[in-house]
Amino acid sequence: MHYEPVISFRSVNKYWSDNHVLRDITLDIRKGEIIVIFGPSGSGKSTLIRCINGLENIQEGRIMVENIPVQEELGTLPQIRLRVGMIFQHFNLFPHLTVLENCTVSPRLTLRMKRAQAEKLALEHLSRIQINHLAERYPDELSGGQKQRVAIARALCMQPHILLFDEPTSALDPEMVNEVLNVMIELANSGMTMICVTHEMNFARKVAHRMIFLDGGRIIQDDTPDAIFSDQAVSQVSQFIKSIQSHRS
Amino acid sequence: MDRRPLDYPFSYVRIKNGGLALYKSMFGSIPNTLLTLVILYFLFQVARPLADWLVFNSVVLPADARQCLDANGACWAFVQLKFRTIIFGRYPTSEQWRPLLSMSLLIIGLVLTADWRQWSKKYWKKFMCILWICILIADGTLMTGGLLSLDYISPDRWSGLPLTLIMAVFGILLAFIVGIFVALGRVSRLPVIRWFCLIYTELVRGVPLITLLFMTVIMLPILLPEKLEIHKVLEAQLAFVIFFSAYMAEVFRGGLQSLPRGQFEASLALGMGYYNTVRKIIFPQVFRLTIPSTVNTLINAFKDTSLVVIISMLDLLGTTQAVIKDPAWFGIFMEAYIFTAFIYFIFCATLSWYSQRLERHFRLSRR
Repeated sequence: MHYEPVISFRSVNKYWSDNHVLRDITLDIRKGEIIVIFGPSGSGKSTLIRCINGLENIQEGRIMVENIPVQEELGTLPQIRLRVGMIFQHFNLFPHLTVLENCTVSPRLTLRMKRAQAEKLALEHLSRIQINHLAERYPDELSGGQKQRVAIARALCMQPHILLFDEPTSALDPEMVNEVLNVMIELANSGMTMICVTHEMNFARKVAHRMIFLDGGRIIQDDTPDAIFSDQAVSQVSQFIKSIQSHRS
Repeated sequence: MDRRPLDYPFSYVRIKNGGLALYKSMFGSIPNTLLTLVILYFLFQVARPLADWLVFNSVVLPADARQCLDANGACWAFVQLKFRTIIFGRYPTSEQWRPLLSMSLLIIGLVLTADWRQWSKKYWKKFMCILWICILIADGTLMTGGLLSLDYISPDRWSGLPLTLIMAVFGILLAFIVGIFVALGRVSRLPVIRWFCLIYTELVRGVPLITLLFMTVIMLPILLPEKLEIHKVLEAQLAFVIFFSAYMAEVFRGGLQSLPRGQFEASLALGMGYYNTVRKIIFPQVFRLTIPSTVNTLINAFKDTSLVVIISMLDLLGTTQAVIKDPAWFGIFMEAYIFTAFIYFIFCATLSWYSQRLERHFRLSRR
């Protein structure tokens, strides 16, 4: 494992008018690490990862991705977004394009790939997650789980170094959660750097290297899953875990 | 009995046994039968005199004004005599093949553009740009003349349907394109652009089209250098583009705002820049969402071309109004208006039929 961080936050603060969303976040993420971010709703989890690819801007501090500062004024966002893929809670597939076109539109336009090459790459990724037979369908014809898998394939087609997952399973029906989690586990095992906002504690226990508990825009605990699920956890964190697990069962 | 849910969703799904269903709904029960008979009676009362007037008592050529005034029906003879003047207006009779050819080119262009099966073809956009520039040049040359051994015809003599079509088609095309940019400007993050576009749309929408027509005709010659004499049709065209681009912009802005923000974010997160996102992700969806209101604006624009009468240009309605002033046929005007209304109706109805086909196409194949 490399010790040079690929993502680093230094004293990051973000405000929405007088609402202090992120408070003094300092964080290093190394290459190949799987990070799970969790916490109560409104704690700033999504905002935190959306800052990494510049979908949200920050007011104080500094975020670096592969030694490039994430800052709109510097014009670095296009370079950042080529390195960082993102998967959204509501999939955000493009409804007017087929699955295949969803996967090839950006490689063709931003990486200047030839059509045939982009389609070959897309089909490779689609067959890796066993949905290549849906390539000619439109997103509205797919189930939620299939949509989210297409979204993952679409992000992979840009050959990113880092993947951000913003609650990838919370909009899914329960029986579809696993098909998406299995793809994520496979990705994790392939050495991709992943930052996941999720409440899937079994997934976290299985693959995460670190878990970060966020509350009120502040990092409360940043530790290994073993520590988080043991009595080393801060009482607030173990209470939160208890509350979501009792809800699940 | 076949009971379908009340909110039976899509009208384009053919109901089986349509004839039987119709019979049942009309004569299925005693109240229904009574109601049907009463309605049919009143329809008949209206339809009979109408048919008499339109067809059975109507006067066709050969006939003169006297016969028409004595008759109890429509005077189609008048329309038969005057239809060439209604359509081509003051354009010299011997040269009327030129506006006819211009109109045909426009209609061919529209049909080629409208064919959605070609839209995904590789060079479609380039082909369309070239095609429309060619049509513009060809129409301008044909109508104006002065070269290629065509006689020069003054713009004052452009009139009738060719004038209406040329102004409507090119005006709408340009307004459509300008509208896209104004709509994007309205949602821009740069305050200067946003404010400029806001003021533009509000100013333009706050003023009647007639005022705008007057202003371009009177102000433009003052603003431009004296030697540059601008074509009158172009002045009117400018007013149309300014006016309808503001309306189109609002239509598109509505579409932009109804699009989930996630579409924009997903596209940006994939590394696509603003230009590609707008071109490939946002606007294709905006066009689809706004088909009904776009067509609404287009039909309005088509009909509002008749306002150029105000700056003494004779469009289709203008030529009709000129024709009915013929003293030899004094007192006969309804038939000419019906004829003109019919022409307007054909164009508007075609547009609206096409838009419904287009919506169905997108609903069935794309979403």
